[in-house]
Amino acid sequence: MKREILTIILGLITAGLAMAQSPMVDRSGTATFFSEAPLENIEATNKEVLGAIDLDKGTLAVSMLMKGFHFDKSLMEEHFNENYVESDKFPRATFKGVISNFAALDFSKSGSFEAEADGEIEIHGVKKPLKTTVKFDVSAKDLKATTAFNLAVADFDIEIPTIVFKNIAEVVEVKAFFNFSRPK
Amino acid sequence: MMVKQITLTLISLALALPLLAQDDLLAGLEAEQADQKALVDATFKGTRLINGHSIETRKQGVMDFIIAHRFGTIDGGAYELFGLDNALVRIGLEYALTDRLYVGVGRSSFEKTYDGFAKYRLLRQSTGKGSVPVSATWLSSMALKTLKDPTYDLQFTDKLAFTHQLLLARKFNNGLSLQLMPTWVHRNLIGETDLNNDILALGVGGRIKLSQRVALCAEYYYQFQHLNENTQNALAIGVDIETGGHVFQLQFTNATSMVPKGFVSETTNDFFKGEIHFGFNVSRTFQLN
Repeated sequence: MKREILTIILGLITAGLAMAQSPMVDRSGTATFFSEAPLENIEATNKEVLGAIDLDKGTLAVSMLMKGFHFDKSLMEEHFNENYVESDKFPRATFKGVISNFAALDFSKSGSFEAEADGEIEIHGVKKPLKTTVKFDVSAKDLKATTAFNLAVADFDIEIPTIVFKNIAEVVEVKAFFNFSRPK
Repeated sequence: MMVKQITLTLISLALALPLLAQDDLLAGLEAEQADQKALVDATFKGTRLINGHSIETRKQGVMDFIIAHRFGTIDGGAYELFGLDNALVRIGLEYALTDRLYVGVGRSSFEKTYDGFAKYRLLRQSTGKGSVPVSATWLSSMALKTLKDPTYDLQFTDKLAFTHQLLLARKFNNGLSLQLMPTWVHRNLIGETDLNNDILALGVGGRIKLSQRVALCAEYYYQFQHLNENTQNALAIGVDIETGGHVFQLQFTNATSMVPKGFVSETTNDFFKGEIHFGFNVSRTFQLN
């Protein structure tokens, strides 16, 4: 009987270890983008971004639905989906990559540090390489990740007609935030 | 004893396995989003298909200001500058009380008509889990003719006409949307030569997008009863051009009126005899809150 209990405990510890090494997922990550143009500034926020980090391999992934972006002006939201990113055809934006300086980082200790993410971003069906710095705030409870980078709209085959040229910036500033809770 | 231990270890490991097996992080995330329900937006560019309403309403807190013109018929030739010498105007102000409820008032110069309408989105086309294949919007419109009639002493209620429509539409893809419009027009009072107080009609219409911001639209109302012997079915062909907060709609139509009871059942021009009006709707949107 004792040996059986021991086996179960051992088994559960094994499972627990596997859990700890399995990817951590944040299902309510935030992504915003900001466009600054002479006539108007446009900002949109998506609060349903999925993010995952695998601390075993040092890999990262992000996926968000384009229709999850909300704007101050509802007509902008409609035009964003209908005319620019074509959400019916390309419903999501994704990122997939690795932490290139993963070996030098210690995610088990509390503290803040910067990681270099290196991977591929896909928007509007167009894949582009992306390197960005991710700031991590690590505690025993969770792992907070923040990043910011600029994207050129034209790189993703998103056309800005001349008539709204003064309303939409050619380069938009993107920010993202994730909070990964550590398994209990 | 040994067998039991092995079994227990295997079960524990099996519990952990699916988590380890998730090789591609991104594929796992995308799978979670695969079936998420999403509303289909922008079946049409504007709240009007051409003459009539589309299933579209504005989002809560949005005010729309619409100016519509219908010029004289183009068969007037160069002397009338193809109808441009005569213009009828409707000015309208509309507001979205909620994402589903949309109300508006308007004044047309034709027969000095005031009109008001309420539009409610009953169903919204969506994709993903529990998706709905079509959008349905109810429209009720009331029109009050205030042009003075010296021959009769008409009461207020005598001058009223009502139109109710069930608008059904489907956006088949980004380029093609079709709409069906079963319509009922009721007049409280009709003229001596008129035949029917109630007219049932079926409208069909649609749009084909020519580019992201330009679309070709068509709309036709078939009447099952006619108001009198002179009326024709209304046909309209138009182009929608959208530029940020504006939608410009240019059209050719045999209808003169810009309120539902008018274009559905009072159209007397024959499209195929060249009795066609050129016209446009310009809509400007304001986000109030």
